[in-house]
Amino acid sequence: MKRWPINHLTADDLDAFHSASLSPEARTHLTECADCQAMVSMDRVVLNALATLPSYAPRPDFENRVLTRIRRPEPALLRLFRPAAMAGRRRLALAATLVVAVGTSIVWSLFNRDLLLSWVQLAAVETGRAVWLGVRVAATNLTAQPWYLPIRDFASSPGRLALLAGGSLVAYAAALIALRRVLTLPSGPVSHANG
Amino acid sequence: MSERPTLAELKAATDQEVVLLAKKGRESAYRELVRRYERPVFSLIYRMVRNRELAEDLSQETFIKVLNALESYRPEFKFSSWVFKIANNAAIDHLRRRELDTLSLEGSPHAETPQMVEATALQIGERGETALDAVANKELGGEIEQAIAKLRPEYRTCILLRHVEGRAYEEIAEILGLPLGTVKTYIHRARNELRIALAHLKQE
Repeated sequence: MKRWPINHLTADDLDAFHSASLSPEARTHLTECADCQAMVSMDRVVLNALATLPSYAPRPDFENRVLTRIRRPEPALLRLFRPAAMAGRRRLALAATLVVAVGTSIVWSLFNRDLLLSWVQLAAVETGRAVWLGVRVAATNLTAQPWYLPIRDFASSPGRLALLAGGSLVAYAAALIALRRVLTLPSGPVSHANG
Repeated sequence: MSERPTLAELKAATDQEVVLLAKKGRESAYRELVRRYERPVFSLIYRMVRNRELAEDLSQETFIKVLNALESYRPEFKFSSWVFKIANNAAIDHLRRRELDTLSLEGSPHAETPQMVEATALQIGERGETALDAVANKELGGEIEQAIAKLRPEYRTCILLRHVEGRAYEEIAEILGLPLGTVKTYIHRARNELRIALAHLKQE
């Protein structure tokens, strides 16, 4: 008798009443309490009204409108031919080709060492010959210049050679200092910048 | 469930099975998911926002979000809970935005002259009943619909999910991210308000 006559039906009791699982104490209270009877009766009206509410449908093309705006995962076969996938595969093919080419050349050189060495020697001899020819051509050009003989005569004694070398060094240093001054940014405001 | 199920097989499949097929890109599975939930989602949103066009837009937004995020769906949760959660968020977000809009009814706070205030104020007619709204209000015109419309949005969602969609208290708590006790309280307060609102029917 803990509910009656003090406690009216609770919210849980109302649910229990509608699901036919009201406790005996609450049922006893309900049979004797006019307020609770009115509440239960009104609650049933509300629940019946809610239960009869219609379900509404969107317009018939709703499904299609949704489907046109979603991103669906592509089937596996189509995914293989997507531009991004193709680009990835192209890079993979290029890398594989390079690996195969390098590997093939290493294997070939292991089996043809003599031939390879003869090619290397031939290349070295030809390169040396070309370099020597270049040096000779440059030297010939230099000695053919009109200013070559006067300068050679001037520098024939050690004193004049030292003077010429010293003068050249001083001129080179002066040129470097002048160039540095020209290229250095001004550190403060320029006095005549604003007129 | 086969890789290419028939329509009948799809209809008989569980939500989880249909979702699995949809994840593989089956259009029929996407269509089935929309068909299963378009009415409950639309009805819920329509009763929340009370405007058919807007409800269609928000329902569409809900399904687009759901279907685009299928990869992130965790099958240990009920699919219906996830769908209703997104639908409810869409409706509640809209109602909140609309509440903010009403603040500007008086005109822009930056307006400096009475003419500027008038020019920037929303016309009451704009927020009043359009032809579509009139149709909608007629459709939602029953006593109970009117009473539901007057409930606080969170009470409205709870009562609709419980007594119109037939969802369990626990599922509603999951959908709304609220404690079970709060959901029960909201539903009983809502029922109490509806009892008061419909009391005259009983007396007649």
